[in-house]
Amino acid sequence: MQSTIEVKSLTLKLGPEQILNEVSFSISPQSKTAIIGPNGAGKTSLLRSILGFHPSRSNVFIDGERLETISAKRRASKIAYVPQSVSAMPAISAREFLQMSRYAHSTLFDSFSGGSEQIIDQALERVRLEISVDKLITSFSQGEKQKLLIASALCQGSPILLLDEPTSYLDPSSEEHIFHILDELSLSGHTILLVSHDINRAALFADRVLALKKGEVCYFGSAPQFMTQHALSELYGSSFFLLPHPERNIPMMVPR
Amino acid sequence: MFALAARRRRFLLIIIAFSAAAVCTAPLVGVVNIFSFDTERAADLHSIFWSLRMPRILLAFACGMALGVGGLIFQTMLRNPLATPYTLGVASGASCGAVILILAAPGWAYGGINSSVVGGWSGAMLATGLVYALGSVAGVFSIGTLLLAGVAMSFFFSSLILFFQYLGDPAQIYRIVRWLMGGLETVGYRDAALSWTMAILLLVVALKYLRELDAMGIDDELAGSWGVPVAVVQRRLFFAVSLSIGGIVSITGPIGFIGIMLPHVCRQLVGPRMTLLLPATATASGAFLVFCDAAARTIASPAEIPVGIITALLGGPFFIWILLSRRSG
Repeated sequence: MQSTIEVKSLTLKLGPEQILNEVSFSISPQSKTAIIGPNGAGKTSLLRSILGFHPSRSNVFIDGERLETISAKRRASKIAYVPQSVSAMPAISAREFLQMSRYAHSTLFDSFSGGSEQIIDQALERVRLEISVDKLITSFSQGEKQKLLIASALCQGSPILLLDEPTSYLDPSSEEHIFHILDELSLSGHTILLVSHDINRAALFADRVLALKKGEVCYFGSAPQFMTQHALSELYGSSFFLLPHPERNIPMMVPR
Repeated sequence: MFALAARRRRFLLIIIAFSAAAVCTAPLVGVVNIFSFDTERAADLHSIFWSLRMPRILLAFACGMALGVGGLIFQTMLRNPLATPYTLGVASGASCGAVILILAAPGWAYGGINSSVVGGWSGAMLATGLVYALGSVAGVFSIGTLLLAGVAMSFFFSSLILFFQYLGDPAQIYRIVRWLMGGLETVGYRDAALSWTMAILLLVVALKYLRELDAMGIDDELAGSWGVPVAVVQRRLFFAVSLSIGGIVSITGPIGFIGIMLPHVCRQLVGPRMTLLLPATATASGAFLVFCDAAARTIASPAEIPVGIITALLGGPFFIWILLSRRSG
């Protein structure tokens, strides 16, 4: 189950714009890493490069194998991806959507017979997506859609999870629940890499923080240690209050 | 429970039943009453039924099926309900090739295959190659660039057709205009056999990529993260649709609107999953062209209207219906 990601001198240029510049880091198995940074820092582009969506001059290694040499199906069985949202959902049920997400593990026959029912049931239950079997996902709320995308990643059963702001549309209770699931997954051997704009949540959840600014890594290390006035104002160009978390010894960022 | 899935399956069965009824009824419809008990004309009626009507029904069904499935694949791949099998320049390339050979070698034929078929096929393949080369510019195959290249090539070939029409004499211009209207006039089974080959090729490819199309119909990146080799599948589907539709257009001329109307209607009835949508679109599109052809043969009887005119006449109101249903929806 344990898997690693290693990125060496990753450079990405889209048109004339330099998106990522000589980004290098290594994610150890079973760890939880949060990618943070201001808008346009290259956080989502970094995730997409690790998934092979960008034709980057990449040196991305998954479990020691160069990304380009891994077939799409094998890559999907190693890495699951939760995008922030999907622009247009089709008029199908949640169950059908989750069957599709099992592509790497299913055959053409399964699309007629409907396979993986038990895995789909477990994923729906785990993200607490309680919906009627006939409800079309086109009528889902943004929060329900986000839970569905997380359930699809769970259905994939891959040891590495890449999540792009997975809780941006969720209410506080659902957000808490999703981070609880991610904690459980980490304990069961999953490696988690997530993009977040919520610095406090990132600091509480992650073991390590990867801070990006203008496509370059400006910090990669322990999450609590990053929560300093100097590091935050350096990253975001503004100053904030820092107050200690009531239960854990981690400073929390508060707007002035 | 699961009422939605059951309803969609029921609609598929209804579509198949209607299609079967249309295909079974169409050979009986025409200028000559096939049920005549005139024994002196029995041989003629036998010949009309087996040498004229049946080949034509088979040709119409295969062409309709290929055009519908081609449209369905492009609409799913491009996630655009207005995409047609002609979107990527195949029809205009075929038309341009046919027009050039109608002008350059009007009487040429070899083994029953005339100049317009050879020109149509060559034009379609040239357009496919050019669009693919432009779509792969900068060394990366991109469906977005491909779409733009297809639209640009369509305009280019359409302009060339106008230019060649301007150069032709009245008889040549009539032949060109008639070819561009599309038609299913055929004698014997050669055209039908060729069309079925093209249609089956496309169906087999669509069936192979059923699950990939389902996933790509949602989002390319999500499909990629699920393990679909998106660029490879897009490239293969692009060539399969282009080759198949190129072959069909070279035989019948461009018959519009089938590839846009039928996938849309079937999607409303059976939903977007390919397991139901592909068989629904294939049978409904085939039967629809058979129905349109029956109408083309009988509306102005004994004269015959080019079937492309019938499909276009139905296509206009169809777009208005889409527009109104979207506004009210």
